[in-house]
Amino acid sequence: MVRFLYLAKASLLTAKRYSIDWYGNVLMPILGVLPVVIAVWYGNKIGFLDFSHVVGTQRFFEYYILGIAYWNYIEAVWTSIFALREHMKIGQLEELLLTPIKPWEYILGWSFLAISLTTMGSLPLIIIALVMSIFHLSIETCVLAVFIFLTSMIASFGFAFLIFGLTLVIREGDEIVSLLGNAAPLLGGLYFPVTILPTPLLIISYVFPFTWGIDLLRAVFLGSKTIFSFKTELVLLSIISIGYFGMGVLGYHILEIKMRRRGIQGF
Amino acid sequence: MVNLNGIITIAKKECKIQLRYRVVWLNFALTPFFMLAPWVLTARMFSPNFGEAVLVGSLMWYWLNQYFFGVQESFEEEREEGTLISIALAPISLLDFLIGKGLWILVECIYITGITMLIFWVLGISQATSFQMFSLYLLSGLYMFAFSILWGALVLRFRRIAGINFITQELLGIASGVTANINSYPQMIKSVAYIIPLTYTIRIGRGILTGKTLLDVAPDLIMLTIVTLLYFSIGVCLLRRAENNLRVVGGWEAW
Repeated sequence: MVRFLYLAKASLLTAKRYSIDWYGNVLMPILGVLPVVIAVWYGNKIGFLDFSHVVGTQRFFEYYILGIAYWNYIEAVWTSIFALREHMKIGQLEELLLTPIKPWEYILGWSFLAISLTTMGSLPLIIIALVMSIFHLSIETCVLAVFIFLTSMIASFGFAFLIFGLTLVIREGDEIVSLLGNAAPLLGGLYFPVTILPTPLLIISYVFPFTWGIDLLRAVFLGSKTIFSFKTELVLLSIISIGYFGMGVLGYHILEIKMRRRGIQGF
Repeated sequence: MVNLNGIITIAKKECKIQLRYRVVWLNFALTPFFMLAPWVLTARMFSPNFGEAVLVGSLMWYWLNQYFFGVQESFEEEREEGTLISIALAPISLLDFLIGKGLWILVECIYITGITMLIFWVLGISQATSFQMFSLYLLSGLYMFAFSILWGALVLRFRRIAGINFITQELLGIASGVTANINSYPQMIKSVAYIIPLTYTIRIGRGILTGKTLLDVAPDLIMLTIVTLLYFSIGVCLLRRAENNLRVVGGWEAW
């Protein structure tokens, strides 16, 4: 049960030797969204449009903070794929697969560092938001938010399992994560409501669990308008998340069997 | 003296490796769109012209992004796999090695830009996706490549700065006015912007987009060439020093 902690410890010790990466990991999510924030700032400065009716709230700061914090946690789980790929490249994968560690332990152990960094990176922003009394918290909103967050994380693990398995067979899992990681914020509505996306992208975003997760979290904390009714979105998030998790676990098992039959030499 | 055969051999080697990986081409085709679309679509909500201007800046920034990652990986990946020492023993200078890698990145960037322009054209962005603009992106990319040699030299000398590559690119992009006009920036940021080559390529690109002639943008083109040459010269000197340092103290395979 606690074996994943050894992997987490190994990741932490390795990361300690590369302290400059910490700054990169902590600042990257904020800098990633900054060009959009600057576009909004510049757009408003030259007075083209009141952006608030597009995002459904005038509280842009909170809108983006919530989005960034949420996405950071979702994507943190997927960093385990990069660790897997690195072990493939440096020729350590076979040894790792001979250990009694299970796949979920690898995913959890390798993503532990990213989750810790995300917590460190997001906390200052969340504290600022709390100090400024941005979020109107109550026990009910907290319980709801935790439920939405954990359900989203289940979906994220589903993705991680599937890509982990794919990496063992087609090897290019890091490319899939890279594509997914870049597509997800747009398709999931990190920057603006997905309803303004062109129809083909909108369809993809609707089957994406994180679209509902972020929409619900914003509704809980900021009182913003949801795409469908709150209840409908909650049900959708739960069903899709469990579906992705089941598909991920099943997919992993099939792909692992395939990998063990075919062998995994080379990268 | 440039070792042309060596450069082409490195580029061919990269080509053969990359062609073995299929998913990477799908990633190349779609990731730039997903990355740049939030910037462009946000700007387009304000005005179509603003959207076009942001696409010009974004695509030029993406070339910088590819070259910064590309030159870094040229050293980083070879180091991790323990093959950088073979490069050091080969009859090719590290500059030629980087140029060879850069030649292949040029092919990748042409593919990336072509597909990304096509997707944005389908979404209704027409001016920034014209053939004339494509030539400008290509020209801008060559300047970005020359600029990125400095980053490659820094990575070779101080290998751990690789961890702040994306931050550096983001800061360079923001300061250069990828999603805004730098004229609206505070004076201090504006001063920084004028020493970044990307600022000039974006100004030239947006100038041509709004109908300026080559003569109108000539001052920016001259400044771009001067600033880039300066960074390129510093980069080449640092690269030689880093190479000499490695030959004396070792550490080719350490990362």
